[in-house]
Amino acid sequence: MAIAWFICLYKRRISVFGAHVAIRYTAMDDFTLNIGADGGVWSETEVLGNQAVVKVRASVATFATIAATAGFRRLPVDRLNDSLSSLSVAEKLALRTVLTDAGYTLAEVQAALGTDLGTRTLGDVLRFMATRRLKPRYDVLSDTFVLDGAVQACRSVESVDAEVQ
Amino acid sequence: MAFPSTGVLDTFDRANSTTSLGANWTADAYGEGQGSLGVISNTAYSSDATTRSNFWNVADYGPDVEAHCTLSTASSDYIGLGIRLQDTGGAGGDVDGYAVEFQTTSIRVYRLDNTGFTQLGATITISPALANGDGVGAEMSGTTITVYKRVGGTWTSEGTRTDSTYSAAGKIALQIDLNTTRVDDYGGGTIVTSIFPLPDVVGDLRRNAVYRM
Repeated sequence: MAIAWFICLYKRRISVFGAHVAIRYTAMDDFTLNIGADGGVWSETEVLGNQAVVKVRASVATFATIAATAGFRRLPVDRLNDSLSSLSVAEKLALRTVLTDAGYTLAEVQAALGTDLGTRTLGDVLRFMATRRLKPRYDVLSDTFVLDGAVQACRSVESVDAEVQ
Repeated sequence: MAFPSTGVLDTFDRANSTTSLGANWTADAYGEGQGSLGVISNTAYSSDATTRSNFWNVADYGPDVEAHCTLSTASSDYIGLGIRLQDTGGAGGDVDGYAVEFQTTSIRVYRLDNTGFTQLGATITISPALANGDGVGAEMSGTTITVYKRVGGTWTSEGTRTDSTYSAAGKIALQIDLNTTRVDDYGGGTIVTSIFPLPDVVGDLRRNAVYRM
């Protein structure tokens, strides 16, 4: 059993709450049975950009399966206090792009984390990523979830970290 | 603190109805345009093959709150318990709060944002499956939602979820999917905390009975 952090999207499925109602769920729930079969567990915090930061305890084989699935990104180190100094320039750029793709401006990223993510830890990046999210709503006419509501606080990364040991 | 801390609000012991759950209930708990649950053979049910829901309109409860009920007839169809529901009874589409959905083999916890359901965490598997006479419940204390099942008269926690989005008191609710499941003894309200141990009434009665023998 090992620990890994992932970023993944929220997905949509028809709810068991009546056939006409859709629900959002963390895509990691598609792997709940795999993770459970390992004796593992996962927990998440919803962040900006219809995404979740997810901590998982499972087998290395399950991590490989998840990471190979479209829409999942395994983060390059596994502990919140792990430094990002070992990341290549390309890996650091990719991680920064994750933040800007989520909806943070480059100015926000650089103000919070500086211009070189190599000087930061995984925890620094994830805590920044969980700075805010937008309140979702279900639009009946288009049958889609729209994230255009008020700014909401995110569940703390520390809370997620503590739940999965 | 043992679960539940609150008693039964409704035993549904009244005349059958396909369209009303009674004066203390209002239809469409989650603003989805759903019809009212009904009463059959002194239990709550959905009178047709749709999902129906009601919220308990007597008061707001919480913020630390719980809801619970008995599955008089369990089935593979779902029932839902709503807690901390805000903006119920309006034009629809704007209800916030939390809902817990129980099936005989699984539990899912949702946050409602403007009637949009977002599942919190993983689907919880129940084993063995819930059966007739078992109970289900949910409580939210602070930012922690704990879900329960009652088998053989004993309540056990099946998992927790954490969310801080909605912290105010609100309505509690009941939802039943399709028309096989029957629900009895719906209860809930603001979690009761006691600084003194509750009296062991049953134990006292037993001891008294032995003494008299």
